[in-house]
Amino acid sequence: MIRAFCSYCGLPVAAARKTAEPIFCCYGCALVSRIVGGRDSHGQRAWNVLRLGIGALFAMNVMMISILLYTGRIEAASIPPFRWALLALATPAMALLGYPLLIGTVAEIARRRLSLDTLIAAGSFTAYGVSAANAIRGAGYLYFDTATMLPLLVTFGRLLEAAAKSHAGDLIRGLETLLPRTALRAEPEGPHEVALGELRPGDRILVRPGERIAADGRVLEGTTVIQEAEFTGESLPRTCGPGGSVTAGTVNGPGALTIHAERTGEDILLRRLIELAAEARFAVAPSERLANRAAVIFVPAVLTLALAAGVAWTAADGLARGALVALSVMVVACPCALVIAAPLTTALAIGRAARSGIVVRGGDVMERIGAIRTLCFDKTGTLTSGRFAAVRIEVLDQPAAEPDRPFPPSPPAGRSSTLLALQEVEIPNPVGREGLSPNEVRTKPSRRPESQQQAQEDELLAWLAGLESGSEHALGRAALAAARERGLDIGVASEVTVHPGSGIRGVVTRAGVRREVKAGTTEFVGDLVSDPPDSGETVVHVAWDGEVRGRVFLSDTLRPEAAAAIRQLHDAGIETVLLSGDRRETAEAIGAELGLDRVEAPRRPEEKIAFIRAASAGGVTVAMVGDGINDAPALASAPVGIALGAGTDLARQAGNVVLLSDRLTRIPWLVRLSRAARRTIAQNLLWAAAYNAVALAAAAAGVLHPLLAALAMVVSSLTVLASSLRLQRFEDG
Amino acid sequence: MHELWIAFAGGTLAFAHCLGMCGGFVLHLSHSGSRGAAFQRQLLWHAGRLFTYVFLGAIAGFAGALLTGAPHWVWTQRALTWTTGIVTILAGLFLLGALPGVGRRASDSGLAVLLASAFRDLFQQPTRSGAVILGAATGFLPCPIVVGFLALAAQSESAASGMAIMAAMGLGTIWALLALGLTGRLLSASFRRWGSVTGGILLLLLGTATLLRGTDAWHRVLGCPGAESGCCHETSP
Repeated sequence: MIRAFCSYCGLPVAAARKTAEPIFCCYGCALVSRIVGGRDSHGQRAWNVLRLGIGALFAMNVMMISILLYTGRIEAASIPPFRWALLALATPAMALLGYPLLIGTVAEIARRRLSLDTLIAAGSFTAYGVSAANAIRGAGYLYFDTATMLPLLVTFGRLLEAAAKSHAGDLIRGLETLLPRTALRAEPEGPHEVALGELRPGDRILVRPGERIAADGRVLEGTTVIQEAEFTGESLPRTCGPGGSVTAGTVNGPGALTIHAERTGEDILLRRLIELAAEARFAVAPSERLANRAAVIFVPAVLTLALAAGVAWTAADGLARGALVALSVMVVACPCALVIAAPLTTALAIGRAARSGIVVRGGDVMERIGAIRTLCFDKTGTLTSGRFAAVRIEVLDQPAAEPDRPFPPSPPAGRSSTLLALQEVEIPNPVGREGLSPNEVRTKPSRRPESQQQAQEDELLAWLAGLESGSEHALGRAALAAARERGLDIGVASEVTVHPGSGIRGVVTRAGVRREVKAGTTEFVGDLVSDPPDSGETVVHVAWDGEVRGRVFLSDTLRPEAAAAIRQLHDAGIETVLLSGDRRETAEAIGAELGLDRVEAPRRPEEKIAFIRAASAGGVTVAMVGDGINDAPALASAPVGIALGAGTDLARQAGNVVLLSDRLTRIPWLVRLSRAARRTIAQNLLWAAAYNAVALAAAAAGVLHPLLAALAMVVSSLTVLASSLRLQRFEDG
Repeated sequence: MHELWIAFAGGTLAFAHCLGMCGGFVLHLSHSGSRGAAFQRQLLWHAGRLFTYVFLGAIAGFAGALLTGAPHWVWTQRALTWTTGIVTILAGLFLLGALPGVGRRASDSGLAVLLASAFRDLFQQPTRSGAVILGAATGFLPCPIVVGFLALAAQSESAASGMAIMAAMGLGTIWALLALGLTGRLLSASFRRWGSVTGGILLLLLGTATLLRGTDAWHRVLGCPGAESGCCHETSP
């Protein structure tokens, strides 16, 4: 089996082999494609729709005249001309409306298959044939209204189904429209407008204010505000300057930019998103499997019923009545509700999620999301931004520097007596804020003048920042940011060596003074200081000239939407668990702050997997949210693995759900979307079962004329399709 | 006969709603080509629309006749009267804007999306035959005025009367849309609002009258105006 897409509606179909012939997912699409033509030629399509319309006008005329004849208002003498008029109107109507059905019937028979539509077409043509013969010989019943309106209504029903399915495909393909058609490439002889396909990685592209960006890349020149709402669902515009990354399909704000293209053409993130969303539809959802299983027995069951009812009514009331009843049974059956509604709804939900920058890799995953009962979060980079900020500085007083201060009680054995006192400065609101500002610094009561204390802190921070200036470590960057914010001279570092997991050492030259500086864990800087009380923060000890001078407390900042996301998840009845590799105190502080139901920490990667397996053991759907690269094993082990903040690294992400943005509230939104989809599917299946039971019974009992049956079928299709299509308007939350 | 005048007046007074709902089609048809060709297309569009109304009128009248045909089916007759009255009143309330949110929901609904994507192709090139088909398709759009008068057509219990009522209503709706197509301009907002109110009030009165027609009070006050259509079955002792 190979994967292919329906030539009409674009839904995935499994084909036995690759073929140049158009492939259709169902009879309806094949029929509609024959009627309105393929997707490519609009002129041809317009003509075909027109043909259908003209056929409809003929059929409606036939219907009106038939009604007048039924009411008996026409005098007996005038009836024969009316009968000839009916024949004259019904013949072109059948030619226009019945022809595609007839071709389909021939094709189905050639393939030795039998569909309901084939039988309905056969019924219509029989009715037309009998009526034409009766009209010509001037006696007998006429069934022209049934013969012409049936193909019209059946075609209309199939047209609606195909339009709905095609619409689901458009929802995803429509993302392509976010891309500009051309781009302005900077060339040696000046800017040159080129088609998107001509762009190559390494090109320099000029983006004018208000334009859509044509390639994934980095800003070389210019600063602007990028609007990503339509793409990642990130509603707030993002300020972007030189070095910042930009994504094709997002909208440039007021500034002119020059960007360096890193990915172009088919490799850009947007195309990858479309591709993944389209591929997702190959993974069949459980409801779809259920519907398909039901459909397998549905058609034979309807045929059997039609045959039985036909035979019974023929015996009771003659062949004509028997044939009409059998036709009614076949016409009123609405497999659409069964076969199309579930996959359509899932496809729409996947498309809707893709429109908000969420890749759901499979219809089964989309359905599972709504069933999540327990949601596990990783901490760093998931609930927190992963960007540390300095929150507090402790300066260790030196006896030489502070002769006026009394000695504290003797330190524990083995501790240096040079550790005398702690001068503590606290930056308020450690969580939920980034960076520290000198204006916000609050000093704990101290006998030292504030200015002196500030100066000591600044000095400590400046030496640390100087040392860290060559480091890429998250903690180092936080110290550097804090020093820059205070406007400190951080000096120059040399001979820097990094000891992963322990600390950093090197020589810093600052204000003409050269010092050997060490920063890191207690053990790394020298076993001189007592451990700080557990405060839930990360501590960096700083030492120079062989003595520990103080420590900087750093805290990761919570994502601004974390609390709202957790609250919304709780509202949805989902248990939240923090599954963190960090110290228990740190994890518990965050858990308490956000109101998470449980905190599991510290948990090593393999313990996280074991926890998820244990939690999902009882059939509970467990989801894991984390960073798609570092938490890949845990994400892969969960039934639903949600990778957050994929940014441009979509392809590298683990997890069967990938969020482009890092907005945590997208997760409860996705749960709501999935639940809405599940609800719609359940309602549609229920409707399908109830409608078919009642309608088939009524048709078999002989109380439903074939035309009313056809009308009921169209109304049923409309109901189901319209309720599914509502999903694409699922509101952003 | 008076029903035809009511239908014509209803269609005419509902111009504000017609301009809002179908104005877009008319403007679309009047965009391209010479003035004469554009006018021709509009007339054909109206013809298609009228044709559908007449078709629907025939079905409604026939259905009404079927439902009330059997003499012992008094309850279906009564149900039809009540349904007609309530539907007409609802249509009137809709025009008056007294049914909050219905309009917004309708345009947001899956149904609107579905029909729009199915008939997108008809909009591409407004040829003359395309205009007729588009008109015929427009006639099927669920519009409160059409629904209101279809209920009346059903209550007339005759296919021919139903066709006549719907034709009269359709003719009534033409003038405002033709004026729009010729001038290419919508009437002032206040005038349209006023029009919507008069159309709504007319439908409300019609609905109330339909409901009252089956009651003793009506007969006591006005006698028995519909004796030949059999409205007195249920009130006879």
